[in-house]
Amino acid sequence: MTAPATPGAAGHLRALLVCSAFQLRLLLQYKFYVVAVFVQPLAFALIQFVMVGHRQETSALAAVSVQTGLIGMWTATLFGSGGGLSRERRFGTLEPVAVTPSPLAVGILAINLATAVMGIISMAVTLALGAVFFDMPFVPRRPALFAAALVVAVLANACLGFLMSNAFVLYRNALVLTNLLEYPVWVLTGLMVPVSFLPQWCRPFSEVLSMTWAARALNHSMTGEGAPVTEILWCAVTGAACLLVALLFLRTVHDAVRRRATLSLV
Amino acid sequence: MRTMRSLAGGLRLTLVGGFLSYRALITFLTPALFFVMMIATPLFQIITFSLLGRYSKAETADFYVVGTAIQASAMAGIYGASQAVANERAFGTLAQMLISPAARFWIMLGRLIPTCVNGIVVAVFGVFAGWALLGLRLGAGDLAPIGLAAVCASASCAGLGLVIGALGLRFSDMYFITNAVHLVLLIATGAVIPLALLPEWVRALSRLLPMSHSIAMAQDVVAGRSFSALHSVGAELLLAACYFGVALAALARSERQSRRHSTLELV
Repeated sequence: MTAPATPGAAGHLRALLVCSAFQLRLLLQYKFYVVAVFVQPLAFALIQFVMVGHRQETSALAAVSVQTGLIGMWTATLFGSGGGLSRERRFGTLEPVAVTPSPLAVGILAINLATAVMGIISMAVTLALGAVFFDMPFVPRRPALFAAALVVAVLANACLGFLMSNAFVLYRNALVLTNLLEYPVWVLTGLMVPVSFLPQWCRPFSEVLSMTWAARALNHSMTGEGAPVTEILWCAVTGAACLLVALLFLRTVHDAVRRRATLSLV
Repeated sequence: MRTMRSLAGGLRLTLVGGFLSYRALITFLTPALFFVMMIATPLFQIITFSLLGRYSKAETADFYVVGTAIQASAMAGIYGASQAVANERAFGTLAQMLISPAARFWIMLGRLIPTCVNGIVVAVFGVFAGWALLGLRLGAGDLAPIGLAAVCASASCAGLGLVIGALGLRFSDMYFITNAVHLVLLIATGAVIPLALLPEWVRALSRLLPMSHSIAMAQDVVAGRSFSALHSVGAELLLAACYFGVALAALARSERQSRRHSTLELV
């Protein structure tokens, strides 16, 4: 008898994609996420179109669709990551996920990826709203760069969600952290007002968040201005940094919950 | 004498039942979650929308700070009051409540008062946080009318929360409704967007929504504009009474429907 072969990198990638697709189908059954990715971005887009429209600056107005699309992406990632792990706990499936041959990171990252992918729906919804009611462009000036920026934004968001998931694995009351982080990240990443409008001391925090770079890259790809390639790279770098830190934390967190036997406590 | 005894019994039911249901049915009452939902989130909301308001240059910063501070109490009113009713079913205690001989009026009043007090605390905290952190200019004479606005806004908002809670006895996904209503209150009450920038039909809608009269009064107070406290308070309390009446009617209907279709305990 030989021990079953452990899955390699290709196996992990396949597991990640299959689990993400499953999680995505699961998430779309919850009306809460329908509000998060459809209704909330629409509401914030309306608020921003009216308020920013009062400034009568075309460039600021053009950024609203992208910004509010990312608002939906962040909300879905934040609440989806926390809610996803809480759900696994409640259903009693978190322990089985932790002991599968695939690393725990794959199981958790699949939830984060699925929630971030839902943000694409938000982006489509807010771009359509801008185009139909506020005479904003729907098709980006640089479509290939926009698509690349969107993919990198989704992946970077998933990595940020993965980093937070460590806290959700360790700490059962995920709702506390998710509610706490929604508004500050919107503000720091320039999704509500430009980063330049924030106090000076806030700006270093903005620069290390991948969403800031995602917003810049998507806006510039949309308008055809600026240097979106550099911004996409920065988005990828900050996202990758989150992934690395999250992987390091996860080992500690995983050991801690096994030692304390608290993984499945609701 | 009999009327007095009945009234005293009703008030006792309101106070004791309200206190117990508040502690038992509202899910955000752990200290950490209460802090986040009632202190931190409203504070971040005030900061976020006052920044957006200042950026838009549509009104003064004080307009948004005081408006969003009052509006922040919607979290307590909408989520708290709806949970205080609808969670009876989720926690399996609805049947016990419905077979008790207690008048529904006193039961619902007991659900309204604690969440209303909660909302007042949030709004008052928001106003003082705005004063301390965001430079909201407050005179001593402004405190009473702003406090009055907070009380009325919280009462009418809790009334709407009760309506949602009563509907939540029939529909399983109550948070879908509460989240959507919370967004409507954000847009159409004049807290975040000056009503003058919105279409006429939204302005007409805002007159029927909780909080908008109180928010307008508080914004007039900090701007030093003249205002009619009687008109604003009267309109807001009338709305609170109407929502409360609708909640009672919705509860009675939910009760009848649930009994007829045997769906009382279905979650």
